[in-house]
Amino acid sequence: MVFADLFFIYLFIPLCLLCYFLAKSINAKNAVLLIFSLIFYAWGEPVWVVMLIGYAYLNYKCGLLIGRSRNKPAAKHALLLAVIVDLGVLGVFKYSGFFVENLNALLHISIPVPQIRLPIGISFYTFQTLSYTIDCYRNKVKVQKSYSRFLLYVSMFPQLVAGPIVRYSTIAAEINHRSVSQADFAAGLTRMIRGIGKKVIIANSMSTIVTGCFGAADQGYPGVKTVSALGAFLGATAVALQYYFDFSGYSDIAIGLGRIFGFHFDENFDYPYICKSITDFWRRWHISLSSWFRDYVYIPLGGNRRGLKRQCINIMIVWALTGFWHGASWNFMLWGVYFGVLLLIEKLFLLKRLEKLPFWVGHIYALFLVIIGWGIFHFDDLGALGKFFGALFCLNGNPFSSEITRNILSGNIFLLIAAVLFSFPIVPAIRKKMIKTEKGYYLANSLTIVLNVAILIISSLMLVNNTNNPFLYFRF
Amino acid sequence: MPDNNKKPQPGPNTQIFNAMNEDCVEMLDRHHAEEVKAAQAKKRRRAQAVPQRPVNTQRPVVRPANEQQPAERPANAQQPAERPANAQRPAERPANAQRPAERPANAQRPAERPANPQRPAQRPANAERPAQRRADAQRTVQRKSRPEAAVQRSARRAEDAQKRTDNAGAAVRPRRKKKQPKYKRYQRVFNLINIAACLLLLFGIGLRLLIGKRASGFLQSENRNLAEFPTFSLSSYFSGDYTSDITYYYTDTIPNREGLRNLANKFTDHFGLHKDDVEIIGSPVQADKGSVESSKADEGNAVTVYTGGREETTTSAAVTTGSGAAAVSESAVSSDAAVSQTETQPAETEPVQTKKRTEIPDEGEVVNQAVIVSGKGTPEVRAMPMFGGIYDVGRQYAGVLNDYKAMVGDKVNVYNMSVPLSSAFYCPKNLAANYSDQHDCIINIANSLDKVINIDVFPTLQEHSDEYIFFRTDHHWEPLGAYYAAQEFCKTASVPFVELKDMEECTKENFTGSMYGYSNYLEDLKTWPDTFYYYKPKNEYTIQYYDETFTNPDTSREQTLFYSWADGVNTYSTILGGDLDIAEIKTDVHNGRTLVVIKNSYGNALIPFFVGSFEKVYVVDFRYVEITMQDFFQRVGATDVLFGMAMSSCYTPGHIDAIREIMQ
Repeated sequence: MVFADLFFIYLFIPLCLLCYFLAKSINAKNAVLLIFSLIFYAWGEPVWVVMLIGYAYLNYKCGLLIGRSRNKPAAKHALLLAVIVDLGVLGVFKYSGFFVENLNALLHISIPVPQIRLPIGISFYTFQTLSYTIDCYRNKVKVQKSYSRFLLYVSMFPQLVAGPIVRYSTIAAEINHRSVSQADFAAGLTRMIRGIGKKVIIANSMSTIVTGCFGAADQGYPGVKTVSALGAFLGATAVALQYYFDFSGYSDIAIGLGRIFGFHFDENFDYPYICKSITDFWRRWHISLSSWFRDYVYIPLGGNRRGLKRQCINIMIVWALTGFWHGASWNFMLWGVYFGVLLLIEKLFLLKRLEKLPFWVGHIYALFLVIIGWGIFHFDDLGALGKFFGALFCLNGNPFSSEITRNILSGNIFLLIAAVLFSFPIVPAIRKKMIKTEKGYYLANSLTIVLNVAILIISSLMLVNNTNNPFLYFRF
Repeated sequence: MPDNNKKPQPGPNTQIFNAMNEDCVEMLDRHHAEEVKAAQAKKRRRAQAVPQRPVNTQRPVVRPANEQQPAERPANAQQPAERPANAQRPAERPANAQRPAERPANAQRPAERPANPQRPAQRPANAERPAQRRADAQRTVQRKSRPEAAVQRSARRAEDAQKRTDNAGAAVRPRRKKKQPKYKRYQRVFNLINIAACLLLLFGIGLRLLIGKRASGFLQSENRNLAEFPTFSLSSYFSGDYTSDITYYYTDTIPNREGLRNLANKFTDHFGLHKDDVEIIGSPVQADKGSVESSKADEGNAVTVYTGGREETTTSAAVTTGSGAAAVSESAVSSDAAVSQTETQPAETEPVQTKKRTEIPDEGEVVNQAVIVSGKGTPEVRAMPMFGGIYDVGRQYAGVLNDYKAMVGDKVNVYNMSVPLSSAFYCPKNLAANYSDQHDCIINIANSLDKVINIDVFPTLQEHSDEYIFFRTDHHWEPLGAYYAAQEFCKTASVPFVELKDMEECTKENFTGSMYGYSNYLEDLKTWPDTFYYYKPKNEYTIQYYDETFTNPDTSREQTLFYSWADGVNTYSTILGGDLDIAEIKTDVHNGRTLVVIKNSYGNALIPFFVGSFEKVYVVDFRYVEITMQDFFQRVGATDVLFGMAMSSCYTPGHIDAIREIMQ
């Protein structure tokens, strides 16, 4: 099931809300959430839901074992087992095809390539359970003694399939005790509806601009060969906006839903496009992922405590892995390494110099590199990627601008402007200013309500048209 | 604007935080995540550095201010009675040190409100801030208009929180009140309205969709059946089809979906400006441009048309393409051939006269095709499928036709007629350069043909392009266009040809064709529909339809060349009623010529014009036929084989494969 779908919004959510708020005790509420989460997952993965349940059980047991045998070798063994199983599941489902293919190509052999379809959300829940067992081992969280509650943590539907990667510590208290205030509920609904709007109204429309510029992925990006330089830049900008609104929209829905049910997840996006450097960008983009890699890979590797050389190596390892996490394809690896190198350069000397310059220099520098990064990210075909760069820098003989580019640009100009504005924290700023006066306060609050209704209705209308629009991060 | 979560951190104070969240979050304005982070950081710092005590110990400093509060109260006669209960709540605040930084707006407001010029002086020291804000928060909770129940609830909660606070060991003391603007007490009302509005929508629409009647049957605008609720089976469940079909059914059968979609389109129309009334829909097509060797066409591969006893020599129509040759050599963007191909043929449906029709999967279904709309907002509005061709693919097509020719030998004539799409003639000039030159693509095929006669209808159609030879709202051509093409063909094939004036003209008004769907439901196309003109031959003929294997006559349908029932998007199916069956036409022309037309739907419009030209005409759609052509030609005694189809089929690998597969 996907969030941006009428079935989810108008059947699953109302039913879930109804049952949830009819349930009185925390156990009943948890049971409702768990059942709906499993239905949610089984809807898309009728087979792999069984694996999810078993997988969670194994991690739960490992957690118990770690808790019981603190500072004994058994704890270490349990941790090792959990890590091997978690990474093994991820490796088999996500990377086995890729590795076999490359092995075949490298050694000129032909091992049959396993045709395993990636179970939805596997990249996210493996990371969640990993963080749990490691935190247990580090004695940072209390071991969850109830399997059903642990399964609820792993499978909770708001964040199950596309993050954010919620750490167990975030919800450890709330899974045992939580309550929802009227304000929580209102804020949660507002947040959820905005997320839907971001995805349906903006991200989906951006994707038509992207295909308008480069052509469809399943046809091998036929347009990238003929696109004008301006068109390539327009397309890359649209890709950047599409990814932001798509994924942050999803996070908004997840955070909003969590809040409706009384959970408070961490923020996952913090207006990444106002960044002043690449370092800053990664502090704002997919925070739950980058902080995961920081806490469970970078720091254990030694972080910055073992000298500059080691730190550089650590950074490159972390970023290659971050890229590779996004998908079993070379372009994702390249994308990760690209950012690794940029971050390294910034760490070594650039950041200090940037700070001395006016802020807009850093802003333009960072945005430009980020947009190029999205180009690498978007084209999973290296040939098309090369042509994209050719077009972007006018190296392929295409015109600077073309009739098609102008048509797409003018046909979506207001949407583009709106999307750019919304990707900066302008709305919160306006609201903050408005509520300083009484009239403004009334207006701001009324606008919130009107906007909620309008966004929900418009999104629903647009969803009537689209019957298939999976979230981008589903494939990771 | 994102709402920031006031996230309780696990720890000894969690309980307090929870309690706090309930009552305080509601009146907090939502702030930017950065502030949350800052606040959390600050909180953490405080939690480490400053235990609660120190904060509390500073209280007395604040107290004098607090003591003023009670004096204020009476003035505020409308204050609910439970004030004291509420008033205690802020005492819990110290634990929640995170709040202050989050609420700069609030913090300033109270001071501003009284229009107190001494504000800075009044500002308590940093340590007092929490208390101050506590007071703010509290005031918001106190609302005149609050419903009784809510008041009580709030009071109860306050008490609970109080207890918890006590347990946690925090001191309870009266706090200093800071003026919170009165109007902020309406936050709760706004929240209520917000929740009510959203839930009403979610549950209202949800209920309507759950119990309301669903749409079903045939969908004209998309030329397909609406989804049906799937039947359960274990295999469909485990493959995931069952659940995904339910989801699909849920959206697909929403009543008045088309109307709702139009509303959505009205909204998306405002995404930008549409200059020149031109709109491009869909993605770019992959096209080879301008590298056709026109010299080869000039060589002229003379092909002999075999007409029974006597033989006539005619030259391939490719020879006559000198006019196009100039254009051919124009642009020379070199490009490497790739696999992708765009096709503009929709799935055709079986013409059974019920409301429900069988759907035939067709690899030529439009996927991400490019459509250009010109003349938006005028009666001349026209939606055109754009064409992109890879020369290599065209050469493959020619190769298959050559194989056919080799198979049938010299005594059977094989012709190719690749029909250009409407975009060849009506695409705005400034955009045309981005797509294939369709005449080049025809010449490209002609160049590779060996002993197959090419009928280049491009110049003829070009000449008549100011007439009504293409639909504006459908991807097919008007029978009038087919008439000119058929004339060209009959001339080459040396058969008689019946002029238009000797046929009976019929019309069908109000035809909005397939481009309506492909243009993403452009209303203009419905506002200014096409008229379908077709021409009935006046000579005697009989027609018989057979199933795809050419073994059993299809008796389920009326045996006629023209179907009056065809309407809506399927109006084009008036001729032959669709593509599924093999049609056999026997005429009163006795010239010993038997024509087999291997075609896609474009070919249908040609058939009526052959009724006065050939003794027998067989119509075969290469996509559906299940008998080999070798077999078929022998059984019907074919003398002439015409491949008559749209350009797009000639340049679609899947279609070329299909033509190859049915050969023998």
